[in-house]
Amino acid sequence: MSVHLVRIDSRLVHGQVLEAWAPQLEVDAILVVDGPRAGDAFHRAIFGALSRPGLEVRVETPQDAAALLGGAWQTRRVLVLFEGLPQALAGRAAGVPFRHLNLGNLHPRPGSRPVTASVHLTPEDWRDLARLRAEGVEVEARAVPGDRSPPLVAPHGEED
Amino acid sequence: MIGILVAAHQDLGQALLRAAAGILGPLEAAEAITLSYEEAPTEAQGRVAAAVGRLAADGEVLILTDMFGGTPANLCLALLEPGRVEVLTGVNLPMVLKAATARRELALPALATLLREYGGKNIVLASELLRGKPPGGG
Repeated sequence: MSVHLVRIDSRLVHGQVLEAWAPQLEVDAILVVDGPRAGDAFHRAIFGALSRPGLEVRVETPQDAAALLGGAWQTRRVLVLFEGLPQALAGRAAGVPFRHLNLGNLHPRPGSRPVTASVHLTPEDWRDLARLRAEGVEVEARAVPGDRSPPLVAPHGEED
Repeated sequence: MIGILVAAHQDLGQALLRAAAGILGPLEAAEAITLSYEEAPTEAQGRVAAAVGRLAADGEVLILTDMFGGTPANLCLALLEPGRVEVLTGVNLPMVLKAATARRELALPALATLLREYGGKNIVLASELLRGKPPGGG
């Protein structure tokens, strides 16, 4: 299995990912799964420029990400990033596999409530999480590896 | 005058401008932005854009930010307008000092290129000097 962490992070690639998670997990690739950014030359260039010896950073569409993980990157150690839960569901539907999901940063949005200092969940997020959990995905909330995830229990009426 | 915006993690930007002002005296057209993990990126983006707007009223803007790939740099990249708003990462005190003086004589693209070189040249491993290597790893 080549995927070592699947993370939701509204900041995508940033300090916590590059300097805390990547070294801790000893990954050699970060794969941002994001259709619009994968189609934009500027974003492709920026993510590519974050690559360094021993760590490749790329942005791909869900379809291309699934093909990469199931093919050329089968033997790589990969950290997969999605901007939000809808993107994670789309990635899963396209064939990006995961049984464990880390919630890293989900910024405050209208109707959201915090579960940690950096993870704020809307009722729609709770419904997406319920769907993933029903499919057997374990979910935890940690910004950096040393954090402890609180129990993620939906507020009354926000989980189907 | 070319405006200087230092956008960095926590209060690193303010500290760099304070240190620069301690050496050169008060800096005109220079602002720092504090960026923390508690703030939503959209709000932080708004504050950075507002600061660039204030500085741009007076000329071009050079954004100095700390870590390529960090959130402050990511937010600033969205404001890049080559030749009008430049973004340079890896900010250090020598770069801020040089920016404050060299901006009087150089256009923004030349200033940004100069500072990239200058910032790197000011990183010196002292023990290499003892072994006779020139500074800057050259």
